[in-house]
Amino acid sequence: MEANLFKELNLPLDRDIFLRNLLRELSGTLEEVIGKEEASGFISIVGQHIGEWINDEYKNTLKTDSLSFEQICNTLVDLKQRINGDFYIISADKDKIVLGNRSCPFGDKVIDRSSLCMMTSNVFGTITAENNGYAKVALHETIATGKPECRIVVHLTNNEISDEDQGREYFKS
Amino acid sequence: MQPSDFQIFADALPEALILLSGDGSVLSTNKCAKRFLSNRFNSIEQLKSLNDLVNNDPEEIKKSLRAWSRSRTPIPAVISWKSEKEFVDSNWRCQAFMIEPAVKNNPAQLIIRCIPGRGQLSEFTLLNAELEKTQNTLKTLLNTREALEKEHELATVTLKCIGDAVITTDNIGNIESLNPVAEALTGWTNKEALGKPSCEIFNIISEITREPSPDPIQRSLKENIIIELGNHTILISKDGTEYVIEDSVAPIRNKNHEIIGTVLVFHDVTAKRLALRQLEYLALHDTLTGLNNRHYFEQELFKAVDLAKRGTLVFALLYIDLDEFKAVNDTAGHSVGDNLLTEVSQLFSSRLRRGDTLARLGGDEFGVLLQNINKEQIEKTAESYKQALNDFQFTWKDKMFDINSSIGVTIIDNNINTAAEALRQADVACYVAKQKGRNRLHIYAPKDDRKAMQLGEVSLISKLNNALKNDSFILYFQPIIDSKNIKTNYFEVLLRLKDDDSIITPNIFIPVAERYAIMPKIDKWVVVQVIKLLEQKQYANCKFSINLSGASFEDEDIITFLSKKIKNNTALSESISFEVTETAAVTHIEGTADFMHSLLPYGVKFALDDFGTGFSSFAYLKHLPVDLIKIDGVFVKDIAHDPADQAMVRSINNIAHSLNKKTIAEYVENEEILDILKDIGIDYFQGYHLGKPDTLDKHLVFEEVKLA
Repeated sequence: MEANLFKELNLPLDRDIFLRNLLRELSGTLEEVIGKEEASGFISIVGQHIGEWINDEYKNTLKTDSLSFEQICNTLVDLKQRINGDFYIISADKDKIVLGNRSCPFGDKVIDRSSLCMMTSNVFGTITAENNGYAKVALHETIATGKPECRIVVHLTNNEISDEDQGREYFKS
Repeated sequence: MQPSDFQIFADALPEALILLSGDGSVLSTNKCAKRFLSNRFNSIEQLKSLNDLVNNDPEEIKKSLRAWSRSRTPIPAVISWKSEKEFVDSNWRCQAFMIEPAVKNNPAQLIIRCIPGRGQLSEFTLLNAELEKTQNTLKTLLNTREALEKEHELATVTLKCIGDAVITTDNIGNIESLNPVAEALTGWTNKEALGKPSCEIFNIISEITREPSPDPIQRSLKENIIIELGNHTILISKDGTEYVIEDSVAPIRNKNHEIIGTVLVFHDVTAKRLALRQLEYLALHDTLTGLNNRHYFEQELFKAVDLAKRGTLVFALLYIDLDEFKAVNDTAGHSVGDNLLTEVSQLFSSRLRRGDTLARLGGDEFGVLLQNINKEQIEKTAESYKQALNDFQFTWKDKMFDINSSIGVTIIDNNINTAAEALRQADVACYVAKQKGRNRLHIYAPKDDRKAMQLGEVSLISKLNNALKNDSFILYFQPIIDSKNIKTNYFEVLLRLKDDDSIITPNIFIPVAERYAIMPKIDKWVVVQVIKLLEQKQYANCKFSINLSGASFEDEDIITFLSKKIKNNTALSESISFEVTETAAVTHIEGTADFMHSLLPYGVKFALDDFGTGFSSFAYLKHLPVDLIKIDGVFVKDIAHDPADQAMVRSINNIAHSLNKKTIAEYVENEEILDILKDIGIDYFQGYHLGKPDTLDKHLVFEEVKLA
């Protein structure tokens, strides 16, 4: 009787909220204990492994050995939408893809957890570099740092513009 | 990059750098990395691949190699380094990154960078280690605190419960604490005394001079040593009560050996001191008359003989025997006889000159030691004692008794060698005076010896010596009945001297044997005979209580003999026990206690005989390890008709039981007495009603008939 009443309680708790909170707490602890820079390094490794996995999934599903430029653009937007992000392409050319994001997959749990942005950087960087041979991901604006939207540039070639931009480089492994 | 180029720039760097190909082959290491690897591996020449260096799973390494190949920015390298050596410096943080090939299309290379001072997850490790350390410290602190609290509680409870008084002071001698016993003895409460100078609270004087004693606390602080209080210290409490105390003060030092205070521990020995004084008094005085006793008199006589031998002084010894005392005792009773003795004592005491010694030597015999007297005065003085008694009339219930005396006199000059000789001469002279018709005095002359020998105790001594030589003493046995056991196998051993066709009883020969110091020999003879009996099968189950005289307790020969016998046959301690009279025990208290303690380890039991008539004091029971108290028969024989006697027996029995000692009542002469004694709770009975002194065989035959 009482168990049924509990099921109807309006609580902000489900698996998704739980996992997001878990990630927020883990990254928060990591940042506090070893510092933001070091935490970003660790999250980069995780991000790269996730990126490798997602890249393999898209390649297998699309039955291709390497994603094309268009497929890369669509993969970056699609993967985020699947995990509750709201990414969209602002511009795309042979040198770079500029993406916007209105909603972070981590929701409001990302605020003040900029190390978590390394997930996006590494997932985007790994997928792009594995298929394009090179990528440099620059996080110009992020919800984590309090901006209303994210603005992310994925450089596809190593040139003067990409050199001047602050970001992380990724190469085909 | 060529390995040689790598080394040129990398050797100069302070970080350990390992150059790897994309597949994990080790291409080169800089100097610092060589040192880093040498600390872990016996030979670094053999290390060809990253998998040779690490514990990580090869698949995991493959994945990591791909991740590192992707990034020119150093990213954390999660590496678990192998080690072939026992000590490993694990505090390293590793990162890895890719370096682009100088020639396009050549494979990329990787560099692993090991930064000293911080290892992978070192912050976690450090944090955890720190946390663990803090927790351990906290735990230790908590445990220590708990242990300290327990210690403190224990110390406080101990101090409160301890029977000794304890005072602690600070390092200048001001009071810090008093335990309850210290509060009671000083009359100050802990609160009142706090911070006051110790001398104000611990106010002590010398028992002898009554002058203030030096403050032991200040002395202990000054000299940094343990100070024992003097033997005669009296503590005066706040209300003026005085306590005789004993014990010590010790400085309290901290771990650097600096004095931080003192602890004074003392206890009240007033009762002990009074008991000791009482014992000293009892040992040297006659309780009935308050005069000195024979023991004291002999000590004084010994000193007198010593002085006389040097020719410095002449003494005289008067041996006074009351002629009509027996008549008073027989017609008016013992208590009237006791009154007579007390009045005569007062009469004699009033005649003493300064330096003279008067003592009751036993029964109706008195001794006077006249000091520094010339031969002309001796007879005159002795005569005055006789005359004083002639003039004295003792009255009881309108009946008057004329009391006379026979006085033996001996002169103690340099012709006398020992105190015993002086006493014997005076005794002989007294004997002669009696022979001449009583109420007269006689001064000893050597020819008196023969006369005495013919008729008196000298002949008795000869008989005693002969009996020892020829085994002509006779042993009689009187049963002692256990209130809880119907079987009779416990007997008091009694001694008789055979004299032609008659028997001489111990009350005749023992005083003489004691005077001539042959009692230890007689005691030894009895013990030997009893041991012989026990060796015979028919007597093996019997138990015997043997009387020992006080003199035996100070006789080395008999002590050694008994110890040896019992050590060689420990079963003897089950079969024989010893009796000593209350008077003998107290007058030889030290020797008696030593003797008893020497045989206690073998389980030998001791009984105190004739209890209640001697000193009527339980004080010395604490000093003598006796197991049985034999209540004197004078309290028992009239117990059925005398409530005072019954109360006396009941109280002796109660006190004895409370001291874990058993009781024996003697003079059980009829069933009525026995019933009363059973009702009181006496443990053993002895008396004519239960069995007269007789030969052991007769008792055992009777026992067989009784049981059949």
